[in-house]
Amino acid sequence: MLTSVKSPRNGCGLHGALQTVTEIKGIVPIVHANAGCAIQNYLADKSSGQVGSAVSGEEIFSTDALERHVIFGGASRLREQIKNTIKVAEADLYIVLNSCESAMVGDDVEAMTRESREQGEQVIECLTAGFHGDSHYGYEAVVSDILKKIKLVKEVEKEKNDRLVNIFGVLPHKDIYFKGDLEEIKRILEGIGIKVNTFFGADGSVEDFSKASGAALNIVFSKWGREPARFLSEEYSIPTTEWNSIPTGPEEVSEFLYEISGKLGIDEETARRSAQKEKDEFAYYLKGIRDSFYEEFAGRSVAVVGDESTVVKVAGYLKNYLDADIRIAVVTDYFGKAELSAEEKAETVAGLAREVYFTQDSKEIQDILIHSSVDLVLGSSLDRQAVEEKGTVGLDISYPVYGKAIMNRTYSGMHGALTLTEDYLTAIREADSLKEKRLLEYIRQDSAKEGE
Amino acid sequence: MSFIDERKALTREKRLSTLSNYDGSLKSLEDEIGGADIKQKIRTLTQSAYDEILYALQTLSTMEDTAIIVHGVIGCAASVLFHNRNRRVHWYSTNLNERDTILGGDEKLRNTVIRAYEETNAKLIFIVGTPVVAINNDDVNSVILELEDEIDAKIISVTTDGFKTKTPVTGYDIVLHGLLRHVVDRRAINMQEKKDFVNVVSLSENRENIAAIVAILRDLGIEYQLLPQYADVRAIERAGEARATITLDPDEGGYFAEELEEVFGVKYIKTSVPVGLRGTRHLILTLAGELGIEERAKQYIEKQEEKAQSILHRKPLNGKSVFLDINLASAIHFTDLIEKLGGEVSGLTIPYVDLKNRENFKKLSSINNAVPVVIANGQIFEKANILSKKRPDYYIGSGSQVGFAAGEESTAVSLKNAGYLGYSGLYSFADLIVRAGTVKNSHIQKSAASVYKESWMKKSSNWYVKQEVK
Repeated sequence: MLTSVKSPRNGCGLHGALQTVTEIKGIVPIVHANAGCAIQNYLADKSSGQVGSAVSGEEIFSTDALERHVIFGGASRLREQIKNTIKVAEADLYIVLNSCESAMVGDDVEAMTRESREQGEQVIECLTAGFHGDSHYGYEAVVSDILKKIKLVKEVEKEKNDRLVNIFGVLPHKDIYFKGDLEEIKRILEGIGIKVNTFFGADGSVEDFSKASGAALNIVFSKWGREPARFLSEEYSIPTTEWNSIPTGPEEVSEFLYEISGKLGIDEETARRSAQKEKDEFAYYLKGIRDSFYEEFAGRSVAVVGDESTVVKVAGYLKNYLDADIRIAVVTDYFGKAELSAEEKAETVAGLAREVYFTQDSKEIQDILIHSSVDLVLGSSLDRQAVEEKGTVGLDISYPVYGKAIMNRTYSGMHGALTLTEDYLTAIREADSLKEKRLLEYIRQDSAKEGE
Repeated sequence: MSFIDERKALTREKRLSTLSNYDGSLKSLEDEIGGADIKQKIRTLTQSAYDEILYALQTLSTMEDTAIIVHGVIGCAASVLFHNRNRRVHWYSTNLNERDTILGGDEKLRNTVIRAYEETNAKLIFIVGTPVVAINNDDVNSVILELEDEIDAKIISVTTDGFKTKTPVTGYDIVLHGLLRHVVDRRAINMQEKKDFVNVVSLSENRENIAAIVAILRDLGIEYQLLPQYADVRAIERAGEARATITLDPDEGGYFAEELEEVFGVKYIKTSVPVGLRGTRHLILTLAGELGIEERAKQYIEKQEEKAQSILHRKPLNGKSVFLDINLASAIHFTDLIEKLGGEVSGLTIPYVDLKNRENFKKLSSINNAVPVVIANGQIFEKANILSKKRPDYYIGSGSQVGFAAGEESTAVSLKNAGYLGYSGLYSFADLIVRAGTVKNSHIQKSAASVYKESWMKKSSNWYVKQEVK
């Protein structure tokens, strides 16, 4: 049985679907729910520095279901809403997302969208009742459903493009740096002549979904991307390669380049040249901090809190490149349809940290962090708040992030590794100056006592 | 008639025939709502909007000594992440799943209440209702009955459900009703002599606005306590001992003030929303009259108004048309302020009108009665339609999202975090207008591309507002 959650950082299935579709250019969502469902998500996202780039908050069309729709059913209200939304909003694709309310009432959402399709309208649906799972599940469900149903309303690509790949498992908003992450993945792959379907971000759009069937490869960067990739593999025989996080650091990027070029039949020389360039650039920057690294930064103890793929990425990089001692790792997305067995859990994060926990409860996480003695907490703002009183310094890697506006920053790939290094070292210096201050206070107190 | 013995606060629709959907002219609205009752209207196309759960969560998040349990699916607690940014909120989700929607979540609720009690120092534990528990009819009260002897904190059911009202401000009433019934100390009912302080009821006012009002009360030496925003449990308990109550927005806090008067004998002093010189003067003079400090107050007002003249003379809105989107109670003096600053209100959007606040329309007599009036909670598509036709110079809004107005080439001004109450509000509002004027044609404005079809913009904006058929 799921237990209660203190200060929940994850929303529901509908929220995950909204975080996803509001980042796809050309999609207009029609939420079949009571008025506030989408606003709950809007406020949560707003507190975390980014809302939908396509539509957001009060712009999102919604049936705003009332008591009579609960009692007598809301299907006819939905029909009316679909019809009118099409007349008012410009879109390449309309997607109906339902809610706990409409699922409990039993509204036949599919019948309503089918009716619109029969009239030639581009309307599909995804059943995202909040109680089916959390926001991660919402991403998985909605991306899979768009891929499955887009052929009902649009021509999908039949020609194979042997240089096109699909990217899955980078979750809008839940991965707080998803835009920058996708740009970095794209940059790396374009370096060896590959075209990238990112679906989201500045270059992503509905069109990516109709082109996805023509891709030569699915690249999955977290477990939440498995389901959409599996569908494309079964339906269009597109092979999938799965990574447990976005490759971060020159070695990882290099391995990634060789692997992908191998799978796409790109000659090894191209991969080698590109990998070398990434490595050289990284080495150039690292050289500039070499002495400070040994004097100030090596061997720091840290705790890493976040979604599995984020934890694997950040902890792995800090450990392998910056000699961090990863005392604690907390994985906050271990549940739902992709629930892992104990063995699988242990395997994913094996060797990454001295202690590994699986929880999304902010009180449990607070207790873990407070009783640890780490120099640095990398997590969400909730985790940073938890250790504020202890004076522990933190870094933002997980949802939600307060007090920060986010555009295209990334902690992934090679450029992201440099930014992460920058921020990590800055945070350590901040921690050290705090320590200095506290030491001074101790000494002052002791001297004052002697003077009495 | 007091409602304190009712188990639940009534919705605004039931209590005051509140109308949340309308689109027409000021004149036609006045005709529409002038009768004995107000006929309901609906929209056949809607966008997401705040519901009463969100309003209740917002208010509870601003109170001290509390723990909030959102009894429902995990997403129903999501907005509290927003309120938790600047202050620590203790909130829990009972995290109901599919099985609980069928078999009920009472056991989870019980465990969560005990947990919240053990983990926090909360003196008040609020259980906030959500659609799933409302549809399932989960028995929250029996959980409260069972636990109230076991734990040393008050457990209060916040009977929100997300679908029984179109007026989110009902959420404030529901919270205030819970406070009146369970927290305000009833011993104050028979108190012969009330104590020398004033309740200042505030629900949605932002930090800047509260600071402005607090400054005035301090300058005048008036003892006060703010509630429910920023209040601790002690302040709410002693609300019945106060000499008088004022509300910063009567449409929001009036329910609480009226009940305090009727049940606890605390005089409700009806004051204006303190916008501009006129609104602020009205609030200070009415309050001062009641407290017997008129002379002091008059001198204070005179001094402040003299200082303020320089702002009014500058007339930053000279010759400009303004589309105003704000509560009706605030709109009265806001209109006056806009006129004093040289502008003219060319359109109005308010969230609701009801049997009680409808008389305020008479006070809007300076506005041309042909100007468009929209009554809506959100519904940006309709506002965008009007802006695209009327092209007002300024759109001044108190809602979450004013960016759309920039897409329609008006200068957008957000009151969300801006100060506009009291004297300091006058200065900051005038500054805001001057600064906003310089943002026009900037890149951020160009980024706000419209998602609406041309054909919609050409239609009449009230196309989707219909008479409700029961």
